[in-house]
Amino acid sequence: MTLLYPLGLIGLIGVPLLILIYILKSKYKETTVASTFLWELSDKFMKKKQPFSTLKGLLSLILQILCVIFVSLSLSHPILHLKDSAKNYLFILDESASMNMECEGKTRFELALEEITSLINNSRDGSKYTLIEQNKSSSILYSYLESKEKAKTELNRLSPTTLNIDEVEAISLAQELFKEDSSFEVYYFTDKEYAKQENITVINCSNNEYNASIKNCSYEIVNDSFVIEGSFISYSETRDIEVQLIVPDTLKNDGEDKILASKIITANQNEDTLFSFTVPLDNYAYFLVLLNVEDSLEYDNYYYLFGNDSNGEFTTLLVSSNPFFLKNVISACGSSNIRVTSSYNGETGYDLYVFDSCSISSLPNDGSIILMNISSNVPSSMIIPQEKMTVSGGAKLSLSNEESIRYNDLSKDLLGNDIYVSEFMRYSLTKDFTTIYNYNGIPMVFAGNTSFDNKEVIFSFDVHNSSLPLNIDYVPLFRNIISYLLPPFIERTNFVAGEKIKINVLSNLESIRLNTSNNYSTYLPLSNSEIYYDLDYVGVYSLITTSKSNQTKAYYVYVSYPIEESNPIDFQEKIILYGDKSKGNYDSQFDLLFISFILLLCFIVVEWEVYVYDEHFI
Amino acid sequence: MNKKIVDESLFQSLEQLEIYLKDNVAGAFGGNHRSRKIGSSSEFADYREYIPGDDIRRIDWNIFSRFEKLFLKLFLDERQMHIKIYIDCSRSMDFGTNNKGVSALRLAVCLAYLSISSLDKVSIYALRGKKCEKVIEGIIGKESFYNSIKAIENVEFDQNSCISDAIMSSPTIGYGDGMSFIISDFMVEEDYKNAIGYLRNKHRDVTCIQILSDEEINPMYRGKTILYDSENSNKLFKRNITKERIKAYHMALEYVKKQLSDFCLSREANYLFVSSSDSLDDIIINKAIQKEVIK
Repeated sequence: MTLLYPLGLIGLIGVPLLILIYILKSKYKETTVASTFLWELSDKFMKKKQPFSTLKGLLSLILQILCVIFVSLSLSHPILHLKDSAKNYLFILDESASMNMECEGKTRFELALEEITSLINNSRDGSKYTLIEQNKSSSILYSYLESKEKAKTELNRLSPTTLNIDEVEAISLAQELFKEDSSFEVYYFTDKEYAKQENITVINCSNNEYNASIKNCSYEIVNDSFVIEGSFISYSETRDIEVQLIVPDTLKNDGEDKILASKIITANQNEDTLFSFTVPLDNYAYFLVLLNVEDSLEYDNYYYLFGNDSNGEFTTLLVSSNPFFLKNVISACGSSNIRVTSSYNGETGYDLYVFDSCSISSLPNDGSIILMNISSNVPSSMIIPQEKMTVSGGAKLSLSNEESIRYNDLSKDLLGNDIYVSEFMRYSLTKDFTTIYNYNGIPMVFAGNTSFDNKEVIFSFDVHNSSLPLNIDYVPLFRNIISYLLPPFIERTNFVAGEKIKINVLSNLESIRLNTSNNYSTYLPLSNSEIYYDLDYVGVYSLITTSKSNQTKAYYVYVSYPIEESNPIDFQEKIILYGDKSKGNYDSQFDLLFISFILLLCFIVVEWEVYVYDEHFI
Repeated sequence: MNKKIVDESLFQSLEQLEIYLKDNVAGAFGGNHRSRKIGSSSEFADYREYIPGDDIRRIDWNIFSRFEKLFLKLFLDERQMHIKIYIDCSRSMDFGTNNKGVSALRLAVCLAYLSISSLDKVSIYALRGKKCEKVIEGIIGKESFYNSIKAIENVEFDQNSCISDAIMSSPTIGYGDGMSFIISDFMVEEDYKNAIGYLRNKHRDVTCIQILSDEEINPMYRGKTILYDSENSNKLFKRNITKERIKAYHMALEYVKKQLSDFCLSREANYLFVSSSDSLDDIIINKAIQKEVIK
């Protein structure tokens, strides 16, 4: 047994003090009685003293001394050291992508599980087990579990991720637990090597495996050819590695692969090595770049390249009695089908609706909206017309220079040349909006959402009464507006595991089905115009859209392995759990308040005992 | 001690009572107590045959006419008794919230009044150490009694207790002529025995009245205590007074009471135990009558 705070024994001074007080305090009360005759006679009738009767008189003193000893010992915090005693285990399990690396048929993660199982098996009965998963969001799988079998069974549910996860969150969680209970024997199962470890035992499950990894890859069309370029890296050693360019027959790799090109490239150890393929233009739906090498990790040996054809054409309903300028500019922005009409009768099914100087009884609930010079109330729109303003000599519009992503997108490539407007409408606005152009602070061209949560852009003036159509910013402005109103379904086709994909929900879509690389399939909710989805697994994801006209279309994205997790050897400086392994537990519990509480409690108990004894037993 | 001990309203309730005497034949003439001796009262006692020399005025001629024998008609004698009240004037009697001494004096006055009412003679003595000092002596008649009360009120309780020596030193014990009351706390080891025996040998009826204060009957002392004896400051009792000690004290008290009671019984004396907080009504009407000290 050792004492963590030997100074706590100073409290034992209280024992002789108590005895001294007891002696000084125990003065006899003096009084005169008529006669002591009966009192002296009472000696004859006193029962014989029992062995502990003397102690009984000292009960109060004994209890007080015991309290002082107890408090002193508590303050000094004695610890019993028993050999092979039951322990309080805290396991931190690294589930980052690098734990997928294999050596001799077993992944690092499997080795880690074996190590944990072995520790549990060899631990004494009565030990307690706590496990923290170092995952995307680190969490405690179980805490203070006493059943060995349950602790092992729970391990079987775990699997490594394909995400780049650092240890910060898991160690922070472990630190909190350690602060609360410093009796933890902390084990960290990972594949990293730490030069310095404090209060934590790192079990390194790596075996200096070899790995090569594609770092990046992209394609472009140059002079009627596909140029596929990228780089890869060979960790630990210099090797000649064959890089293949493949068009797989199916995405499931169960058909015959067609190798379009291959190269054997010498990759220097730990250096980026470039590769490049040029193939004639053809109707390739996608490419697969493959490192034909035997290494510890397969995930980072291939890379899919998909084309992004989501920037498609769109259909437009233009309601205008003077459509010349608008039809031309919308057509120039990519609308394949523009229907022009002078009045709106509730038609739907268009990607874009443009209402120019007309009255509308209700907005369509599908598609994006452009409203121009609307003077009557439009239900579901964010504007309420107020009054028509006329500015003699013309109102000069200026760019708003707002600091927002939406404004930056909408004002992209605009030169800001002078635009003059002779008449305009003043609106009161019911929703948040982003102003592109304003006149003396009055929004003149602004963007927001309808009550149906469809995007809309408002022009408070008739373009025919302005110099806008003749301005150099006319086409770029509408291009920006069209891009804002009709964004691409997906912005890119290549992601790294852990990233989110942003899906712009087009108004004509009936459903979007997402198939993940681990064969999970789900329909995405279409309630919002933008959907974000976590891409946590390496591989090909597909998005199957079905339009309201029942046409289906497939989009593919490839989620690549995070390059940070490819290096089989990872040296780190240190890993530390702060606090004293022995003392930590008590630093939090034996604070002044707690000690005061104990003292108060002891005092109350003793005084109560004395009171009860005096009142009822004497 | 100068205290008002006489409650005159009480005297009225005592008018109908008298001290019950059992064993007295002597006494002076003119009293109100019927003696077992044949005397000259008007109360018939018995007949006996005439013996020459008898007073022929007492011959019952009606009997002679029927039986033709001479019989004398005998009448009971009536005597005046001498009630003597001995008050223990030790310091231990001057104690208690309801002072034992005051209670003793009040009781003595009541008993004296009872006697006076019965046309008896009354003497009150203060037992002061080994001496028996008269407070009032040979009082007859209420007027004399009332004149003597002042002397009773001035009795001081400032001596040690020595009941037997004090009583036996008294030259005026008397013989078979009434009742002797000893009013004391009897907090002395068997000191009373000689006195009671002596009085009984003198054919006096004896009543021992043991008077204790509430503090003595139910002591409230707790914890470590030094108790000093009021009669001797060098005498002390130093103990931790616990529940067991209090129990033993009560047992000791019962023991003392029983010793005194048993001794009185063995000497055909009366024994009364009273608390200084008891009212005189309660003592006289209930306890004394119940014990046949008063009728």
